[in-house]
Amino acid sequence: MTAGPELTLDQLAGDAAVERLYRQVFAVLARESGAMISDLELLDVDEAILDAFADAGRDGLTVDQAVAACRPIDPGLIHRRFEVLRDYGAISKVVDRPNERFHRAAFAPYVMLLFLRRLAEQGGQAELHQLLTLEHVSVTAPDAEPETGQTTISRLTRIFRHLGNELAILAAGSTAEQLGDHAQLLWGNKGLISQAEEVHTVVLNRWPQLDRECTALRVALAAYGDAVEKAAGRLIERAGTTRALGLLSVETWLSFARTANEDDLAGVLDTFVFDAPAPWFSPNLLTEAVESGRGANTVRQPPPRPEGPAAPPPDDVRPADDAASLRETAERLLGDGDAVAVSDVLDDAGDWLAARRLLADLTAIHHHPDLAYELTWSDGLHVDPGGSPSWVSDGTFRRGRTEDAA
Amino acid sequence: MSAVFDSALAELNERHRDEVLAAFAALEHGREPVPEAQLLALRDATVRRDLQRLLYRLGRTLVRVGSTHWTSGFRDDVVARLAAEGATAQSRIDRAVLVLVLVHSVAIPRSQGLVSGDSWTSAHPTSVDELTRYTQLPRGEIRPALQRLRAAGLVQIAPPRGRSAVTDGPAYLPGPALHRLTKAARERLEHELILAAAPDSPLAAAIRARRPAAAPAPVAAAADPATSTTERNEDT
Amino acid sequence: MSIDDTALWWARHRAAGPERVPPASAHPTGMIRLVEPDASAVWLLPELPDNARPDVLDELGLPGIAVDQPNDTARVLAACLRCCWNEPTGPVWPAVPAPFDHVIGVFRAITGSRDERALHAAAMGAVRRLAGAGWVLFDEDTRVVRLGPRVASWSAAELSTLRELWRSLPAPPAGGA
Repeated sequence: MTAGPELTLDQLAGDAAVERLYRQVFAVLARESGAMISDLELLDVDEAILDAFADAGRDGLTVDQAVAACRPIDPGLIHRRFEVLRDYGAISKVVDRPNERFHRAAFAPYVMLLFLRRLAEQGGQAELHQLLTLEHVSVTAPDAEPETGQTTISRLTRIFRHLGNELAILAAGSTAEQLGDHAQLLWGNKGLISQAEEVHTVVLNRWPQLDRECTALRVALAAYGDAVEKAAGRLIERAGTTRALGLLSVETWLSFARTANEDDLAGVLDTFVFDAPAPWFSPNLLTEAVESGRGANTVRQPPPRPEGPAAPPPDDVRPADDAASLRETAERLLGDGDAVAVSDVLDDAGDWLAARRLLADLTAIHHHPDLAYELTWSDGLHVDPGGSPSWVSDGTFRRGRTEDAA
Repeated sequence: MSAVFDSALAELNERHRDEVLAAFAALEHGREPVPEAQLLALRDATVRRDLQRLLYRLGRTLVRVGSTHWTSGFRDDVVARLAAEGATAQSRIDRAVLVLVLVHSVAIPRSQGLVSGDSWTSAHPTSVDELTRYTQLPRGEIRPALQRLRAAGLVQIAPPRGRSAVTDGPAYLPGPALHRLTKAARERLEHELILAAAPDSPLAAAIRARRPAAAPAPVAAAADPATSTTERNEDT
Repeated sequence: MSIDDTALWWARHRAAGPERVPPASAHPTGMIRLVEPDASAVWLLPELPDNARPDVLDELGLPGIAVDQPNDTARVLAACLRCCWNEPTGPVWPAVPAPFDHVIGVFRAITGSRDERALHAAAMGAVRRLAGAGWVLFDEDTRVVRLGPRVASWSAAELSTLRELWRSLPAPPAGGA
């Protein structure tokens, strides 16, 4: 914008330098000499080569050294990329002579590579913010001229026209997939707009004569805002129920999950209703559970003697000492004899309820460490350590229990 | 027996009536969605309409899961009423924890492009760490909440995978009860989640802008059960 | 507004579990009213036709709602039945309140000698699960258990199986003493 039709030698030299830089910078995007890359993996290869140069120090690298440093990448691929990078001047001989084998790498392509990756990953938001910050710095500098303001404003106007155009075109005619892929363009737009507005305010206050340029920026910003809205609306409409969630970044979700309070989280479901827990317990299930509990009792548990030395009975669940009343029961049942059939005892009890209670008492008496009575079953199995209680077999209740009476 | 059932099924012959009742029991009491092939009342579109009519009378509706399974869920209009009344078994902390599981197991995998479709169930576990260590929720209340959510089928313990399960404790997945969300509810849940996670985003603005127009629709449809009970909710 | 009352009541039950309402209020179609012993309130419970009840799942080979610790939970429910259903020849609702310690006693008797702390923890977890689903009513402060309204959904045939189970269970230990 400063150059007239006649270029000076300095300017020509300067242009040549710029062109050289451009060539270097775009080397990383060259598929081969003269064509854009189509395979993003080539970027990884370029990065590996440039990394190798960074690590090699001032001696530089030969092609073979680069291949070795880039293992396990295919040597053929390294050779080809090496040539492309050299064609574009991103890599050059350390000394420009025919037999020179050592090369050095320019730093600009590497910076460009990083920049491109960031741009690709984050949609260029951060770069735009940085650019706006720089513009702000430049228009607030004490020695800034009206030309600075004008350049800044027209640059911003163009940027936002570009952004707005891209979104408007996308919103008008693309699929949800295409829109979703460009969703990053939509995020953080408020921040961008307000940053641009700040620059705008500075310029307008400082150089009121730039009113026309500033108006153009305002129009561009408004158009961008509209385009964002339209594209977002379309995105939601098109995304339907299958893609909407994917339109927010992982970072957004994580930060929500980690910073939101209980009300914010729960509020998501304020308008939803779910079933209350309603498990079904069939009588058969209850019966089976009870039976299996009894079985498991002796299979995997230590002797069922709650009052054994290892586990003293908690007072809140068992009468302090029922030995006396149990002994009374035992004596009443046995009378003068030494043994009595359980079935007889139960028959005498009258109803099932009483019989059941009596059976529980007999079991308790049997297990009581201070009482020398024994409950055995007709199949020979005792209700004690090695035994397996059988609640259907006939049994005998008798005095004396060899191991515990001692 | 029950007047509701009688009047809903009055026109059916005995066989179809039994089929509808069996399907009703399978969908309403079952843990998981039921394969269409297993029950006549799901397979046969005509009988399925009778099943839908019965469910509708009871505030429920058929919900299609994938292309071959069915379950039942709340009618969308009924949900709106019940939510407004606060008729719910889940406490605030329960809901907060459920939302966390949904973010980690569904929203994030969708953002990563790992999952497609609109289901709120998922095979991507949410670690207990993620629920207890990295959130603002009162730590001691999270495990009881998870237990209650498990009881309601809203979360489930992820099947252990190698060592991770041993070292990190159990991980959670959204439970089978989430299959019961209707298509409309599934979409609404996505929108609510976006509104909460990124309220200032243009996406949220777009969702809000669409709201007033979208809201009356289910109510209007519900006003005419005769036409809306059957096909409307057989979403795909 | 346009939603039928029946649909709302049934859906409410589905969303919030059995609902306790003032005695004179609602009488929704197809729902059983379970009157509280003091007649201060009624519980509403859907009445399902025989072949639409949860036991149909078994016939169809489909899994029902999953329960944590299903066996212990079922045992504690059995223990609650044993302690609260004082007249097993009669209806299961409303039965009578019982101290939770009695329930633990029966639970202990049918599960054997576990470590006491583990036993109490298992019983507490189970009774909370049961209370959360309306199978029992549990007052944690007074540690008193009652049968919940959901027990009224057992059919007559099922109740006779439960009576048998009841008779096979040991009496609450402190109840007799």
